[in-house]
Amino acid sequence: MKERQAPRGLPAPMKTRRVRFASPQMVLCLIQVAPALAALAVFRYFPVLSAVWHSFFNWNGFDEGRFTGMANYGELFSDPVMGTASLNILAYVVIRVALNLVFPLLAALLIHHLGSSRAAYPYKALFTVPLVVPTMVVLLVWKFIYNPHDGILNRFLSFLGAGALARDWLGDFGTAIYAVSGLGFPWVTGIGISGFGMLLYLAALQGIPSELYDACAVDGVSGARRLFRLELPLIARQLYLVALLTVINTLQTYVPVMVLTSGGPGTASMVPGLYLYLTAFSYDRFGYACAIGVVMAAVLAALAAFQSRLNARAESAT
Amino acid sequence: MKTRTLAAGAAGLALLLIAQPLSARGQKDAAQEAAKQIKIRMYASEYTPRARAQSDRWDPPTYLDKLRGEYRKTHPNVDIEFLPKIPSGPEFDTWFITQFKAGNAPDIGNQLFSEINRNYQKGWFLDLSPYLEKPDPYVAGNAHWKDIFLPGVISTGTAPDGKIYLLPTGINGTAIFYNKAMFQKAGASVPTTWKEFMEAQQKLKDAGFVPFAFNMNGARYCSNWTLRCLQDMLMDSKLNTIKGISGPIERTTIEGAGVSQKELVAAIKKGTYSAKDPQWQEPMRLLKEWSRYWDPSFASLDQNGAYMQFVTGKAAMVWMDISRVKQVAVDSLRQFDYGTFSFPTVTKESSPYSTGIAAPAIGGFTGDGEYLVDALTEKRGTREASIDWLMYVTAPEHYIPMVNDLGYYAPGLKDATNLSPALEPFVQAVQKGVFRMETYLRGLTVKYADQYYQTMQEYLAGRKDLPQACEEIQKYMNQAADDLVAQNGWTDIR
Repeated sequence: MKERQAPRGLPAPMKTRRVRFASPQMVLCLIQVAPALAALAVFRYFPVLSAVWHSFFNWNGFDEGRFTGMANYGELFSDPVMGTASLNILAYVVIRVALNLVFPLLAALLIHHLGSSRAAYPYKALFTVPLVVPTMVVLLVWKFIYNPHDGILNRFLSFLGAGALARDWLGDFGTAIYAVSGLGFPWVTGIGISGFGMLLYLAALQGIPSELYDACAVDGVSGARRLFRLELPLIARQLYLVALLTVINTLQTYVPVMVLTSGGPGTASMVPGLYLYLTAFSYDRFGYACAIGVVMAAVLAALAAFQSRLNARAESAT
Repeated sequence: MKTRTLAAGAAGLALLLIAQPLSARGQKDAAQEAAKQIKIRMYASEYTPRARAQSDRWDPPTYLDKLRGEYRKTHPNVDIEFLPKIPSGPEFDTWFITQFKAGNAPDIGNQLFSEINRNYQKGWFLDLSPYLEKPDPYVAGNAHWKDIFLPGVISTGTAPDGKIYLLPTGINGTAIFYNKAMFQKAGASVPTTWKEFMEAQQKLKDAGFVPFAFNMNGARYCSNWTLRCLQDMLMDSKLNTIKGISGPIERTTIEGAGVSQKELVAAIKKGTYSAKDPQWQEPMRLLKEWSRYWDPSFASLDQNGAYMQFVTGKAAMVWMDISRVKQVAVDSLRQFDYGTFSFPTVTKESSPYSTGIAAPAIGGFTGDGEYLVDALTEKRGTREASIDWLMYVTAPEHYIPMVNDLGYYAPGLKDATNLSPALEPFVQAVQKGVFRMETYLRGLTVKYADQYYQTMQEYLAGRKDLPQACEEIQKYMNQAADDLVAQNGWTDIR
């Protein structure tokens, strides 16, 4: 058998021993990981399988339920509330992805180009500290900001002489979903993963070799050209990661909607996550709620796969 | 000297011999006394005495503590422990059920009659009927304990099996609070009819005020109260047809008790209760008519927001429940005099469906002070003491100051002498009877309630007209009826 050679200058790889599956060592390993595997199976995989199974039942969450085949799925695709919720979440996702890609990136670029790490530190801290503020607090603050009577937003508009634009942001059919999805100004930290996005971008920018910046300087490439020709291609992985995490995170979201509008007025800000919650815990239709959950999971998986392929293609192109 | 010493010694010995059995007897009595020490655990809900916290904007209730001290003077062997208050809602209901299931419930509990009626067959609660026939020793000249209560206490507390497991002694209710200064400036007077109500609001609007802080976000109290009142008045002539009887349906003190859920479902199936019926649509039409005078942000305004609008003088009226009575009275934000009035009566001037019947009350014997006794008190040896303590607390001499100290939830007692004048109207209103048919909140299914509410909001926002909205609601109503038939196995309903 030929020995594996280490590349020159690197230490030799550790020798690995092949362990037979039925050996006492393997049995010991299996015993050691068994509790973790059991917990994983009970608390992660069983609920998923149970949800898929119960999605074929008319089930109230307590009794055994009645098998109804694909009826829940049939109802789901003809349910007008689900239709509205799907359109709403689409708008929500697009807005959140745009916000999480652009604003944290701008903040990261500003910090990165400050030059000295000492000068950058306070800004980094400033943008990172809000991450520890509980989401509920952020939401309640935004509920106040959107308050039609005493809210800062309407007051600010009036101050600017644009009082005509002031409105009941969360109570208006035309603005409710956009108000909920657009909260978190200046969108660098706060709701969701945008705070981490800024840190990810910054780490990636700091990982760009200084020689490349020197080359840009020699060639007279700066500003927008440097951003689009050098920086963005080199942090594309981070951009994809943030976009993917935002999509996954946002598609399942319902807490901001529940706290701010309860899905209203009417169903103007209803999202699938909240509808799933209401269907299960208010309407006692756990079977139908499982069907909504299964479809949401399938959509998420498909999007993740699609985005991963895009990512791979982009990488091979660079 | 020697003789004297001997005599003294003999006397001492004699005394010792006499004192010995006396002392032994005393020790035995003390031991028996100690053995008789009884500890009662009580869940007093809002009345739970506590110290003022930094976040409190007014003094918390303490009167029950005072009563305990006074009671202990005459009952030194009875110790009373008040359990800490648990937030109402699902958290409390879960606690209540689990404590009874585990046999660890308080000797004296506090719960809504609807929850008791759901669980009375489980043998958890003591039937209070025999004790209610006995005299309350703390009420002079009382022959039967039950005689001190208003009739609604006994009727609401009577379970479907005819036994009385609950004494719902607290009255819940609602009132429209109005800003007297704004009314005066606008030249508006306190309305009693719907027409006067609309006229008063027009005057307020013309004077530049927001007439009403209606609120539809979060808990749907305001819209549910309105629709229940309007429906009870405007469907009055049809209620018996819906129920399937020929005689009239009298108002009681139990919300929605006139038409059961099964009767309502049968009426939907028969078409006697239908959203396509113009009489059914009338409350929605009036609601829309009224919405012209609401705070424009009514869709995002919640109960607290509406309260703030009123108390800071930004809206002339708000509809609130009895629990806000003390808050309004003591709130330092309020810089004006206020008054209350009942929901106005819809007369023929405003609707052809009016029969002239006055608006019903919202509420009933559902305020705090809904006492029950754990059936396990016999085993614990705390039964008699628990009943005696309840008799002591419910004696008007003790109960009225306790209510005044809390500042809300009116007492369900016949003798309400010295009751705070702010609570008096609620006692009167509830006794005239509450709404007879529940169709909005718990009447059909929760899903129907949500769908109805969402469609109504679209109608109020002008995104759907009345026929469109009603057609959609009819669809939801039929679905809810089908679901309930299937769920309950009501095969006799076609």
